[in-house]
Amino acid sequence: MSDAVIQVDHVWKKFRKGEVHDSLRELIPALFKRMTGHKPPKNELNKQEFWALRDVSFEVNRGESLGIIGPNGAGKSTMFKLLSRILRPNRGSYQIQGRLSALIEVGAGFHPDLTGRENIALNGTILGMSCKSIKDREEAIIDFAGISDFIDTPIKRYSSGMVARLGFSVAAHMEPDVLLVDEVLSVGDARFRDKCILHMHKLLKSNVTVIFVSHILDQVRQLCPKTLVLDHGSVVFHGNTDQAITKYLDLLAVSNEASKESEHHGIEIRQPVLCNAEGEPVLVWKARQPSSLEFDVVVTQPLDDYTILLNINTIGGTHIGTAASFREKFESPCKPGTYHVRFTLDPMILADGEYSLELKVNDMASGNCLWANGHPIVASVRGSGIVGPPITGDGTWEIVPCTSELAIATFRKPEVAIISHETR
Amino acid sequence: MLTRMIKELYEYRDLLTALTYRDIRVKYKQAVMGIMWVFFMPILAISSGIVFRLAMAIFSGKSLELASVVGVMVKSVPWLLFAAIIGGASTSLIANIGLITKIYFPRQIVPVSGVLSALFDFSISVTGLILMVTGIALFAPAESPGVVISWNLLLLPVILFILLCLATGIGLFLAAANLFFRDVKYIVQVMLQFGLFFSLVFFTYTELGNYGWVFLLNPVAPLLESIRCIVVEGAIDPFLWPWLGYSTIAALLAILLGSIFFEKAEYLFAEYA
Repeated sequence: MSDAVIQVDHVWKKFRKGEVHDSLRELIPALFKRMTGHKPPKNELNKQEFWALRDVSFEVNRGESLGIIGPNGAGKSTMFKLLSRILRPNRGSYQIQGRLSALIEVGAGFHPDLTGRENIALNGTILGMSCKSIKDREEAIIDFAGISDFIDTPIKRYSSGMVARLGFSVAAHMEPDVLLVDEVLSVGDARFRDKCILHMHKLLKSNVTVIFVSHILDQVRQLCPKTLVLDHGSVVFHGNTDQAITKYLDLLAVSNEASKESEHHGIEIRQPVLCNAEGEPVLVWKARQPSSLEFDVVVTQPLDDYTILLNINTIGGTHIGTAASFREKFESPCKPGTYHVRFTLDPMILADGEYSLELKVNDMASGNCLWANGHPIVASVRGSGIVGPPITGDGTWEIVPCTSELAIATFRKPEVAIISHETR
Repeated sequence: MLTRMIKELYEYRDLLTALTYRDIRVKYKQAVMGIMWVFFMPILAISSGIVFRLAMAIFSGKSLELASVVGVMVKSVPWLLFAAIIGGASTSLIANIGLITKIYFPRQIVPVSGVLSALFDFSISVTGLILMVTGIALFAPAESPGVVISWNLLLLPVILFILLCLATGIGLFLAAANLFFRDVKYIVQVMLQFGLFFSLVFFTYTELGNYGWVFLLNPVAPLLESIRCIVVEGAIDPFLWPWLGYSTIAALLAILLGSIFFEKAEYLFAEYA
């Protein structure tokens, strides 16, 4: 007999898109219209369905922890809601043995007029703890959250951080057999977050089976040896976490290439590729080593002066920096043609993690955006030995001409004024 | 089906208690008016009933009898229970939509906790009512005793239970309906306002001429009338017995069909939320 505590068996789930009639005021006239043979106008009753989960199967054994990652819309939260019995699958089945606790939101059921203490009892019961166990753990919960001074004030007076800490603290003291966590480990300040991760580690040691849905890849790496990758409702990978993360980033990269660029006004940037010092395309950005971003600039109409912007953000969306070509005295090619441009990044001190590189073209005179890349490049930085906020970096710009080159120019920082021609 | 729902309610009784406690506590924490509201509502209903009866008495030339005042008092409190359950249950699922989309628990807990908190309010009002009626029974002049004490008073809890089943069944149905069609609650509000008149709270069916019995088709009406008969006349009018049976069947159907409908629709709640 297998030790599988969670078994998901060929599960499918579909949802409806578009407008669904949610009031009688809309439904009754619509019914009448249909009965009398009217065809509903285009924007009425768009009953398109789509599969949020397709044929998903997996097993988790006792004491294991499984991460679930995937691009937005992959079906992670749907899977979560199915496992926590909030939704029912259209096809297939699943089994969970043992007491299940699901953390989809901290502070579920909190009522602003009740005190912290009363809300602990309420929230605890909602999460499935018995009255007695809540009473026993009340002190520990208050202590973990660090709000003992305010425990008897109504929580409408709490700061949002306090509410989040209280909510997580109650959830942390559940003692389930199976725990489902959906992106709740990002509340509170850094110190509280460390407490949370420590607590999760403790839980894992105590043989609790955990399913962890998250976007924060670092946390997934820390807490789960195995990970499931979902994309558009299907399982695309199930295995070792590092490989899973690579697969996940591949998925994001593929969507970069297939991305539909927004309308362009005479200029387009194609095929941005991150390269290492040797000019080879890479997905992992080696910290403290030079690298470059290479792309084709296609000018279809004569243009006035413009600038190319490179935005570097963390994958969580924190903006790190922007490099603008006009600052580097880059002469933007304005005559129609295809130019190959390389943006060389001097070794930057970037912390380990995932970053997104976004290119944009802005007109210099008006500031209007001439072109923007809908899907940024996602690159991982490894090997920096730094955890924490990133960067410093300088850059240089060059045009590397290709077949229809007109001008070859290399612009570096004024101190190093070397002009070199490079042909491809 | 029904037994399973009841079993689940028992299994999750901690949650049921916690939610009911939350509703009651929040209601009464808010202001001084909070606790006063429990008395204010029945007083308001009874007063308007008395005014109504007074007006009728003036028009018909008869004097205002104590019996009719007691009749109104004794019908308005159960009516308020019925209205509170219906009104509360129909919006309960939407009011707790946060919980429903995020946590698993048998969904009938939500409307049932509304029923329990309405019962709590009722118990306070009914205590006041019992005191007043006892006072009247003790001090009323012999020629027009407003109240008659008899063994039939023991039937009162039974009738209240039937009323409770009727309200809960309809409430479950409306709770689910309101989740799918958000304007159900407005229809409910309007119907409850008219229901006050159609449920014979302010007058009896005997006062409505030959076709007064039509009002008894509303299953709430026979129940309220029976309550009045027991308290004011000491026994249930024989005319009412079949109607009482009708109400009982209606209550049974309500609770069966209401819970079946709720149960069938339950798994869609989180999707349509």
